[in-house]
Amino acid sequence: MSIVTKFILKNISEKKFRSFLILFSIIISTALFFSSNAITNSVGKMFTERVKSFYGSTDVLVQSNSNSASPFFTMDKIGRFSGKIDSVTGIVQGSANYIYNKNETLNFTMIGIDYSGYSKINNIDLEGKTFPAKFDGKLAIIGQRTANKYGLHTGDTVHLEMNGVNTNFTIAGIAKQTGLFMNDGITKFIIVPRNELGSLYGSGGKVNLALIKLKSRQDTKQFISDLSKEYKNYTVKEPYTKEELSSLTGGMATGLLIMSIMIAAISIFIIYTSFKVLTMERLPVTGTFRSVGATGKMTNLVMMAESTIYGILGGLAGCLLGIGVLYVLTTLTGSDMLSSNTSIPGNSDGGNVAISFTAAQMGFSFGFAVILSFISSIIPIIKISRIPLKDIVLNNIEVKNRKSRKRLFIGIAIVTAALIGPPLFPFSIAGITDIFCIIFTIAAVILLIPYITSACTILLEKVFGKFFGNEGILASKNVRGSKSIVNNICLLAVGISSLIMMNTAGGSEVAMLTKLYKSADFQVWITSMPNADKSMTDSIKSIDGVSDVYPIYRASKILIDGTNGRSLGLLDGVDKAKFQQYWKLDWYGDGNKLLNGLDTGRNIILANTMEKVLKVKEGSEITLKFPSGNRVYKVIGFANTTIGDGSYGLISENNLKTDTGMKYYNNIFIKTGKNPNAVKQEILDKFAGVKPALKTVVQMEQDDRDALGNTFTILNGLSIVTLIVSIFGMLNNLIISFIERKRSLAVLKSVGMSKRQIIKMVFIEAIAGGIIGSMAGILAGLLLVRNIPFTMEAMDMFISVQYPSWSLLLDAFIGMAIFTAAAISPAIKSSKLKIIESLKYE
Amino acid sequence: MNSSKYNNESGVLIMENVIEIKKLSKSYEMGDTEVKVLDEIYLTVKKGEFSSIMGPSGSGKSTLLYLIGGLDKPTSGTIEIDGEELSSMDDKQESIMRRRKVGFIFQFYNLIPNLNVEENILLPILLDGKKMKNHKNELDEILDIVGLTERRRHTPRELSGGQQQRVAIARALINDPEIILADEPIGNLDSKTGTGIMELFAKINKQKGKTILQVTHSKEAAEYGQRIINIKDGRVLLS
Ligand SMILES: Nc1ncnc2c1ncn2[C@@H]1O[C@H](COP(=O)(O)OP(=O)(O)O)[C@@H](O)[C@H]1O
Ligand SMILES: [Mg+2]
Repeated sequence: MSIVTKFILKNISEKKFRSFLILFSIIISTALFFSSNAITNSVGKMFTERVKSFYGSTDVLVQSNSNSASPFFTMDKIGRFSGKIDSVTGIVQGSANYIYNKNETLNFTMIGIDYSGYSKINNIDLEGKTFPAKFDGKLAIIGQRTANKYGLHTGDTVHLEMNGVNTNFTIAGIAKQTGLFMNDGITKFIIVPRNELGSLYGSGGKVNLALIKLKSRQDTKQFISDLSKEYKNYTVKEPYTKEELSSLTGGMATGLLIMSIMIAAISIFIIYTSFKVLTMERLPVTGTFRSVGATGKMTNLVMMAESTIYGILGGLAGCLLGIGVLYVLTTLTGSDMLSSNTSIPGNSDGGNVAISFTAAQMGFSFGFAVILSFISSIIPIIKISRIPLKDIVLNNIEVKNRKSRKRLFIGIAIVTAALIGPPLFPFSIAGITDIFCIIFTIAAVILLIPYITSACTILLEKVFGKFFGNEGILASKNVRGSKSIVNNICLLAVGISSLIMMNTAGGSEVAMLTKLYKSADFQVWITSMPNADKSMTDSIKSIDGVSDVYPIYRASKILIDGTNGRSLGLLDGVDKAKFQQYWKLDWYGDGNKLLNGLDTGRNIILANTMEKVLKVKEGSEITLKFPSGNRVYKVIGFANTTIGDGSYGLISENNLKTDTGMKYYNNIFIKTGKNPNAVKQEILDKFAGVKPALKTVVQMEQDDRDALGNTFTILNGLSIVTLIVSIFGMLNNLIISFIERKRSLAVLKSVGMSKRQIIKMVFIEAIAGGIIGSMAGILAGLLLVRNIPFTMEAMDMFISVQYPSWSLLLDAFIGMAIFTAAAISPAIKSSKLKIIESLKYE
Repeated sequence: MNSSKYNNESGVLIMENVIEIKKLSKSYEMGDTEVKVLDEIYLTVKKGEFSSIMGPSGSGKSTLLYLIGGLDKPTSGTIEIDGEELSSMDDKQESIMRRRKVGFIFQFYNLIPNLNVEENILLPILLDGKKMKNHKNELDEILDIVGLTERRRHTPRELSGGQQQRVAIARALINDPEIILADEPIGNLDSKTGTGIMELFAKINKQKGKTILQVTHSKEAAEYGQRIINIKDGRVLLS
């Protein structure tokens, strides 16, 4: 056995570039596969850690929402369930400005706690032991980093401005970087006694957040539903739900999965071609082994062992690299994903990066590597084993270059399936089937490229003959006849298509953002403001510089009955007089007329994306599921808009209020002729007590762009990695093809081909390969792009794809450049080739 | 082009030297030692001559032929083809010489597998930048001579050894070169096929007046020509 092992290891170390290439491709695909699986875990872990840092061991929380009559409530009714409760504590939340000096004012989130009650749910770990026996009066606890940054010590006094009143607090303790203060510096919390904060806000002993820890977590669901009945207009929920968790990473995880599929496809191709050459090279040895009595099975096993070793080595290294990739991905995008979630108070960009994965994910990825390597190499190995022993021993192998008709039919069949499938798959299985369609598309491209190449070269022969003379004709014939060039065309096509797919997805998302913000005709956007009513909006309107205010009722995630769980991401109750002044949408028809129609019954206008997704037209009816029950709406028209990423509907203000039971506005659009930032600050100051969430529209667009940019920088980067793996594969093929072609080139030289002519011919071949590869890549890319909306819809995300146009020329150019650059070394080598040596020694 | 000249006074045909080799040596370095394969060879071949090089294996026959065909470079000495020094040619001139002046035939045919019979034959024409369709007549004629008219669209893989060698011969003839160099052209064929090829050579030599220089091991094959050049240990033996 050790001889065989030695033999295999020697084989692997002998052909360094090829072994490197096989390992490299396995490693990259495994790393990506691993990180696409584990990113959800990691971001999830960061998310849950953040949730935990704020909520501690809370199982259920109660807080006000836009329907609550007052942000404050009494905890009496919670007491009725004391049998089930381990501990409960009430919190008053507010905000304060800390005036450090004239130029620097910082906004802190004030957490008013009852020290002993809060300690039972979330630990406060203080430095030193100078803490007063009783946490009462004007005392404050700040975090270590904040203390260091502003030179604050225990016993110092801080001036905090709250609700327009200046109050001095004494620092009673400085907390270590744990619990609430885990991300201190990025989050800004100050803990004060609850009574003190409550009296500043006039809460009258009430709280605006209650944290409950249950005796048994199994009761959580039941407990929530029971408690909800007591707190009808308040939110009773777990700190976070599974859905919230998976929605954080859905797009990124899928993007990664698709990229790992693309790279895996290229890897399969690379390993397959490498093993084809490898088995041929090994033939004399195989023959010798077999002539001395080894069975075909034994020689097969040796080669399979070799491919398994590649799989194991690549799998191990790939998992290691995957951890690195995961770390980088989480660092770059994790906090963006987290900050999109608003359920954690004081949540913001930055913070600790933690990666997390399961042993199963690691094992799964390792298995993926081994299987990838094994299935890619098994076909060449089996093919070789079918060759009769006599022919092997006599090295009498004819490589058949026949293109079978079966291959053509299979190729056409699966590309057709991938084309007509996606619109037909039901929502419940589309997540999986659409990914399969991507795999199918790539497989079809690989199957069909030999035929596409044949067809193209017939055409190119004519064109090149005209442009480049007879060398052009010869080059075209070579492209058709050369397996290596056809292989390179495949590799280039897959590389280019992944580039196109990712660029298009990114470009389309950016276009959707641009369109969204272009249609918003106001300057400041309040995205949440508790208890916003008419008096509050009037009060906003009275702020200097505010020219007009439009408050709106906006419901989110309204399920649509009979659609396997599809929902409307956003549903606006609109004031027909004002909506048009604030949102410039592309209506299908007359906007005013459509909006007027909303008042004549339960009528809805949908974003045009929904027209296709829900398969509805004007006059169709859809049933929306509201907490109060199902309501049938008639579709009266469509608007081309990217609000809610296209998962959007408009109904009348009254219908929305009736059906959702909403009492307060939750989005407020503000027009101003003055500096929007100043207006934003004014609002923040004026409503410090209710903590509105708001941004200027310019800022919001920028933030959205940044978040998107990060994600797509990564996915684009990965598509470039895909291209690089393809290029490596191409170089490998060119090395193989040069060895194979040496003889032919020598013959051509012997009948009078000059160096110049050889270089010319090799470059024309490269141009032809580049053209065909780029064209095939563009075609495949467009097929894949067509799949994007379906794949996203399967995750309940919507995209209106902006089909690339001019950028395709750039892609084609990149393809040609790669192909031509890759041909430089073979061209030079070919021209320098010594005729006699090449003819004599093969 | 008529390269033979008549002496005006006597009217006697004076044969011109098409190949003129002087003091030609070729050696290979094998580690520290230098192996002399050809040792100061002098040789002239006249136009229209059909000569055969004979000698033991490893005596340098192929090497000599390759050097004459410009497929390899000598260590020292000169080779003139039609009065032109090979070593003074640049790559382009040398390539043109290989296309137009010399046709080379190998023992193992050396055809291009992805081109069909016609295309293989037309290679020197193609490389000369000429249009294929302008040479249809020559092609038909040559296919007829080598007896492959029916196989013109076949690929080399679909042909027997003898047929492949005839394609190689046709390729060597298509551009109407003055000199045919053949390295053991029938060494890999059965004797019947070999005889056919030799008859073809004799025919080309007589009818078209081509200069033929072949390497052969067979006395019978050599007898198709007019002259035998014996080589041993890298030297031409006086005959
Ligand atoms: N590239 C080379 N390197 C070293 N020796 C060579 C090389 N090519 C040929 N030889 C040697 O030159 C000698 C003559 O070879 P060759 O001309 O092929 O002989 P022939 O054709 O007469 O059988 C042989 O001894 C051979 O080993
Ligand atoms: Mg020889």
